[in-house]
Amino acid sequence: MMIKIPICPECKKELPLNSTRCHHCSKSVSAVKFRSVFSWNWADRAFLLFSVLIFVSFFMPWFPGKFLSRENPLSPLNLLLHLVDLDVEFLVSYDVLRMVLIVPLFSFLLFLMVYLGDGLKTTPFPGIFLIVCILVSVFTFIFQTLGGVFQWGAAFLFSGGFLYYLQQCYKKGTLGRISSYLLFIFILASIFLYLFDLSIKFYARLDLIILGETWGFFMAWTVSCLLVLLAVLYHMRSIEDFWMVIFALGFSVIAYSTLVHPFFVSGPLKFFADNLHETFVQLAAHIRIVGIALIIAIATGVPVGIYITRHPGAAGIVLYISSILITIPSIAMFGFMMPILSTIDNAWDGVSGIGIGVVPAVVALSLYSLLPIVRNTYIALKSVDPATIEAGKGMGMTNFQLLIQLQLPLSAPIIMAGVRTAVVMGIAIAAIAAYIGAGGLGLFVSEGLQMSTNNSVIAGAIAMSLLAIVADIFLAKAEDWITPTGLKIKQATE
Amino acid sequence: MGTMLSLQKVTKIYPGAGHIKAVDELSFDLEEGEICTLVGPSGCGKTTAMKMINRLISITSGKIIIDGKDISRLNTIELRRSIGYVIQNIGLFPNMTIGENIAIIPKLLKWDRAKIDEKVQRLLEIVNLDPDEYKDRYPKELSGGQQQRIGVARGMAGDPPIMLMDEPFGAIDPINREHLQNEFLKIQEKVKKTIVFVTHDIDEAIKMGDKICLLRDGHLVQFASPEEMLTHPKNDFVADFAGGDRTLKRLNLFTVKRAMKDNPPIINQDETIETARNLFSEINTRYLIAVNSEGRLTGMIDKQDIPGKALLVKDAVAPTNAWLTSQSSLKDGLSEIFSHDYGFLIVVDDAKKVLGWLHTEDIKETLKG
Repeated sequence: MMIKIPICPECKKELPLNSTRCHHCSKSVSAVKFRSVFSWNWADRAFLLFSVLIFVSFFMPWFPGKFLSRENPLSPLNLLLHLVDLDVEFLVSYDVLRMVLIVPLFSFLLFLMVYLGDGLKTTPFPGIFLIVCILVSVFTFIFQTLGGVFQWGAAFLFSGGFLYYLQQCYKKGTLGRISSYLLFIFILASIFLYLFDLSIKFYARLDLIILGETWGFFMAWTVSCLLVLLAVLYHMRSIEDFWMVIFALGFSVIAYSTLVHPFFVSGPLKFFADNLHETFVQLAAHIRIVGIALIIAIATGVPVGIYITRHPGAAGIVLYISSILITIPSIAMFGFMMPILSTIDNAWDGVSGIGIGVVPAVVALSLYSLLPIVRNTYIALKSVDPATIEAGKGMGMTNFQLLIQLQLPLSAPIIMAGVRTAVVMGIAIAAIAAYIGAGGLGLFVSEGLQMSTNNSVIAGAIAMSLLAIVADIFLAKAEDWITPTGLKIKQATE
Repeated sequence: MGTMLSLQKVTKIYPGAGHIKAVDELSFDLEEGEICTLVGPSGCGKTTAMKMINRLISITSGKIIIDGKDISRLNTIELRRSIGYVIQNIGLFPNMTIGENIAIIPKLLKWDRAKIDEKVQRLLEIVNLDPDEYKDRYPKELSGGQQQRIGVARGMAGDPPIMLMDEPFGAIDPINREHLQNEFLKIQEKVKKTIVFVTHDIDEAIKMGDKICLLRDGHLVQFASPEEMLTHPKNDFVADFAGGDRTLKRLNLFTVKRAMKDNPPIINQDETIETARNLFSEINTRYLIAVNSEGRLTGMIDKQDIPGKALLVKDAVAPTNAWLTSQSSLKDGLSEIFSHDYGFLIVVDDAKKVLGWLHTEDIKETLKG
């Protein structure tokens, strides 16, 4: 690779990028000179090798002999003929329109990132990660026709990588940030393009032509690749730029073929799209069960935690009982709830039907949530510095004042951590509640299992995982918010 | 000044473990504005005795009377609010700012907002921390010494007549401790609280206390002023505890002013050398202390080191740093004498006006009493 390395005009030594002062001779650098270096390391070689592999594998369906065939609707010859004829229906149906949109947009983005975005220069690029990406993309491609596990594994792997990449861009100053936003919007736009517009006609033919769906994208990718490689070779200022661009390219392909394709064409996201209303109804039901159980658990758990702090004799018993409660398998717990609550129901009025559905689910969940909340409250209150409490007592504070002004504020973050555990656990356990008619996202799983619809099962699982993740993030924020400012400050060093 | 705090045969027996008396029939009276240091080896019951005063520990038998009132008849919470309490670990509330920490007791006493703000402002000034800078900061941002000052300020916030201090400077390094002790004594001059001060350090007890209450295994061994305890230790235990160097310790109890002689060999620096030579032979001394017309110290003349060309005393004066202010302790005085060759020390006031001079013999006489 030809790389231009900035050098100090005075001492002719290499400079870090964008530096205004030479760190060798300490002179301010006004006119940076560049030295062109031909660098060819193992990563470059590996990259080229894999690029060739990917290219070959992408275009495999056209070999051998079908390259110029008119029977293959996607052969370049056929495409060219259709273009010349302005066969709009064909172009739309095979997503050529999107290709035409993608090429300039994508090129423009990469152009921005490579040599206008002067912040994007100094990342130590994780070369190994790139290699892994390319490797997996090859395997993904090979196994794409087999579907299943490989695709999903790759999809999750790359969604992580994608976020990492966006974050890297985001850290690189304004232009990097803009390009990361644009790239993100681009991916989203491509998702929605599929969901609502171009897909309708297109998918009708998908069963016949397996590769047709992704073809437009690969074409766009190839052209972008060439454009960007040109730009890179002439304007790149460091090897990191090069890797960054390659990563962007490779990643966009991978993200597309692993995320967008399996999710929307046939996967669980299509399930969501088809069952949008039902999804929201069950999501609301799920949140309601967990939410009510949580409120009950906090309202009982925190006072119990406070009580056992002051009565050490009770502490052992209470913690022991709640430990036992949490070991009961959830399906058994729901089983216990039904006869118990039915008995109560019969003794009460016999018609409210609390033995089945939401009520036993809420009761069981609040019992499960009790342990993390009681234990954390107990531990938190115990860990407040006894000297501080004694100082408060000595100053004439009542127990209640001490609790409100000192112990609870100091314990709040730890109690909140207990609530977090309880919520995440509750969201998972509530899935089982679908079996006793409480509804919730678990319904997708249980119904999917009964009817052997994989997408329903996976969609339910994904929705619950996302709910748990979002709830956890939200509660982590709440934990931070509830932590007294005085505790967040670092100790003064003397 | 009447008796502020009176302990009458106060006894504490902890249940179990052989009914050992942690505090056994402890009695003493404390005048208003006095500091009483409770001192003794570990486990002697000094902290127990102190905590019984604000009823953090209940009394088994005996009476504690504060300002004429038996504390067992008072409401515990109100009693505690009327007693300042400062502990070794400071115990600042980490979730509250410095201002809020100091305002805890005033708030409990339901003072109005403006009065509390004013009090916080004033207390921070008293403990030498800039209110605007520190009021809204959190305890963790402060150094140990600063936190301890806040602890003291918090203890004084409710205007309590009595303060209890449990090794308040125990966790602070020696240099800062000395500094805080001095500062605290200065504050005490202003506020004149009745203070019960627990410490295990006899030096601190001597320095801080108007009275020292030496305890051993719950018994009162001696209750006396530091001076008396050092000169007349009641028994071997007291003598041991005060240490073999207790005579040297007494040096801390006297000021330089008390021991000095007020007839120093002074000469005005505007006089002629002849006058000086006459004076040298007249009082038979090697050094003369030179002062200016206002009586302020300018230096010293050495009889054997007068330049030949000198006409006035001024020309022969060599600057000196063998002087101390009259408020310094005798310990510093003695050390200063030994660090110079003159054999004596010049004693000056705050304006550097010469008041007297101090010899080792003067110190010896003072210690004899």
